[in-house]
Amino acid sequence: MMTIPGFAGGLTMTDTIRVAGRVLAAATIAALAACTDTRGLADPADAPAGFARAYGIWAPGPNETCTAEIHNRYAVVGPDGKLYPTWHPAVDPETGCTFGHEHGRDPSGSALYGTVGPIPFGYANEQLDVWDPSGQRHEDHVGHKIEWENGIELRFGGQVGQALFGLRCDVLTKLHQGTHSRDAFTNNLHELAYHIRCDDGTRMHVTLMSAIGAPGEFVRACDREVTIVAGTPTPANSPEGDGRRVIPDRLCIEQHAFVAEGEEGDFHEALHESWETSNSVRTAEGRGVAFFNPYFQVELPSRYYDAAQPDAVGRPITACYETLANGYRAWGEPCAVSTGGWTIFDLTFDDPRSLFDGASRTVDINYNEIRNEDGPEVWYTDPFGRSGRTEPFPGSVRQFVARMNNDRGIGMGGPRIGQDRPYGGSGVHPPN
Amino acid sequence: MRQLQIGAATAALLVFSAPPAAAQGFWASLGVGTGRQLVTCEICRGDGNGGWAVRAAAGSTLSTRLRLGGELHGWTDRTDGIRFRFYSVTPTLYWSPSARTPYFLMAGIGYANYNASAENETISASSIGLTMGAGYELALAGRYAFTPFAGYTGTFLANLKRDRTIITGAQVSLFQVGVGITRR
Repeated sequence: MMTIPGFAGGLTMTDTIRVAGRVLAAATIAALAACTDTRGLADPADAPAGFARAYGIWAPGPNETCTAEIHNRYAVVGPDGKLYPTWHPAVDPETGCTFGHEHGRDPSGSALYGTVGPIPFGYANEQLDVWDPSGQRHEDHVGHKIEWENGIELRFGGQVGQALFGLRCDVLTKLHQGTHSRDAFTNNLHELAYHIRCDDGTRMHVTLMSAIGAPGEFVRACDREVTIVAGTPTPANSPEGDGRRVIPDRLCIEQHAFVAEGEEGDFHEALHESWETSNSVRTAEGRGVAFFNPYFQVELPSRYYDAAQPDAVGRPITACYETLANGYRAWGEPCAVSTGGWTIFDLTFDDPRSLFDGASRTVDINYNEIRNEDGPEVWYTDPFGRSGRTEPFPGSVRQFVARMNNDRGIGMGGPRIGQDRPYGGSGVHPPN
Repeated sequence: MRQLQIGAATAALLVFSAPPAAAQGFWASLGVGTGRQLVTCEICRGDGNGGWAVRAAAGSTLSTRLRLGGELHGWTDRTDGIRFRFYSVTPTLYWSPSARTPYFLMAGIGYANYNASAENETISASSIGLTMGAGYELALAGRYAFTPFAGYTGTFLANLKRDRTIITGAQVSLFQVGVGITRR
């Protein structure tokens, strides 16, 4: 099964392909039903409610050596009893085959993993189907990216506050961050799982559809004063959120990557994405009980916005071969390494040799505030983290927020995690 | 060699000189040394800071073993562009357990203030402070004594304040050692 370049991340497969995938998944489950998984993943027999929409939608392309059956073994039963895909390594340790994509850092090393367990990919999306059938939002498989760090330190205040104060926390998060397709140009709803536990009792386990900025538009990466209207979002009734999706466009490439011969293009300025989320858990009355705003950064994504293209998707690897009218080219290490010093011609965007694979990411943990001193610790919210009630309702998502108020009135900031931990190699290539 | 000679002469002066002349009346002491200061609270890093410390004390002799007075302890340090200051003023009771060995123990309760400031930010705390310590009075000539000392001053349940922000339940501690001169 081929993944179609530039296809919207929200609908990466046709219905026909999806049905075929499900049939394949069903066969996989039947074959595995008698097996006991030693990795703590789901026994398919424990999924009484069947398959989530996110399950079984990945299929190998020409560069992959793993089968869909192997891929579908990495599954977990969600709170709704459905089977969901979950984290897997880029290379299957049992067979040595490659999946061609990665989901970030292995969550089993997180200090929170014992509490959180395998993260079901697409659970909030699935609940949105129930909560608002007219506003469905499904995302592709490869965009689910996990990052975590144990023992980070939250900082408070300015120069003096940061010298005096510091709070140790463990954090584990997953965002669907597709940087290979046009999806994020228009779609601001992306599934976010966020787990944090700190020494002062701060603790959140939240899963929601994060509304990152306004639907239908994004902010130009190399000039954040400019908003680019990119089209109609999916779903059309996507709520507007705080935060923003900062994405490069063709202008950024031309201004920063293209330089005269003998100079070095600035690929950070040219191809850097920042998905700056701003999330809250709110009661039915609208009172916020938890607030957090991690920023998810990507270096060298495999696409940029180019209004001149039919699907608005430009490919950095293609730009490596271009020469502008003024003679400028995309001189620089990412292009030089990807193309073997321009000795490899016509490299396609999904070639594993391309460094433009979206596998270099970081997360800024930022602010984590709880105002839930009156409790309860468990809130059932709609898939956007709103309308929190004490009892579950159709389409609700269970959220845990510690019974406390950690707002000390002093600005709080978390560190950046994931630096120097690129997830490329091992056959990883766009779409990733 | 000259330094050795000076050292030997000083030692002889300390060991063989007469004990402090008066065991009654007013006394005063001044000392300098080094101090290590620590701030702890729910979100505090708890990193210690070293810096200069001073001690000033004065009071009245109540008996051969008991004195009443007051302690002023100050400490400061500048690290990474931040000025840290701590001082305490405490009415203090001094007890000399031994008539033969001139050491004393001291304890008092009073006022303590902590302040950390940089260009645009100040965090401070004021609270009741407890002082405990000990010293040794090696007699010099006349009414003077060379006084090594060590002390601890701590606050309890202090509020760290930054603008309108208050972080409760903080404890500020100062451990100091130094040497001084006492006149009795």
